[in-house]
Amino acid sequence: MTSAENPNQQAASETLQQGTDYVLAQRAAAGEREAFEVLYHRHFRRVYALCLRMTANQNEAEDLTQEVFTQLWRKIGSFRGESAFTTWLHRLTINYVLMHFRKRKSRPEFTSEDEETPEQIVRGTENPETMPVIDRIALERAIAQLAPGYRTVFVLHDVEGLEHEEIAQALGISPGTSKSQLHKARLNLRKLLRQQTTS
Amino acid sequence: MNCATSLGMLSDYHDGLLGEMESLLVRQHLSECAPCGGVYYELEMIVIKAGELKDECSLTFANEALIWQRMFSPSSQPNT
Repeated sequence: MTSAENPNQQAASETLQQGTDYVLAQRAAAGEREAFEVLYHRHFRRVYALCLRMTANQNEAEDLTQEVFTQLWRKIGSFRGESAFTTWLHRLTINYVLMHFRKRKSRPEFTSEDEETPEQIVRGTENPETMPVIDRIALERAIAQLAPGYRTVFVLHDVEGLEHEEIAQALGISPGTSKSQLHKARLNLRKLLRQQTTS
Repeated sequence: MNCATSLGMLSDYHDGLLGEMESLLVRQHLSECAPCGGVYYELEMIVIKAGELKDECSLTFANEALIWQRMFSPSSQPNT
């Protein structure tokens, strides 16, 4: 039976829809699956987007999203409201994706080798016609093409807004390595976006 | 400051992670060197656009309802 079939259920559903994340989390922690479902639909896109950007693989992102929400259902009672629910869920998702990388031993590799020489980078700008117009779709495509190590740091720093210290801690690398990977990621993205423009 | 040194510092410069003197030298170089200035401009655009992705992403999303069903299907019951 759907809530639309019963006025009382419909009213209860509307109340749930209007509930804050904190209230919904408390109700979900008490076992109310309907409250959890509202949270799920409210935050699905953010969680999925993060999983997809970090893995660059749709099937993996779908599985991870499912696993993150399954974990959330189990752990939601530990949300105390000390930070925003979105922040807490965001952290849970990042930790879960990183744990997934470690489990399957596909942890992004962090190298100190620079694939581009500064001369190559400068030379490209001599032709102003090839300056890319960056739109979101092009950028998403380029991010997916980055090497895993570069992609992870770029997504965490420039998309998700984490600090180098946080990234370093999460990935088990030094803050200096995080900075270096970010710089190389940006330079590689620039190159990939230029290739998209000229192809 | 030469181009190679400047290019190696562009991200830290952009993110405000350089010391005062290094920052001044990079800024001076960028104002004098058009190619490096061009690279910096493009990196800046990438960072700005990346920041916008978090809230306005253009990804193709998975089937939300299907994943929900899978979560609570008997074979993957979260509480078991």
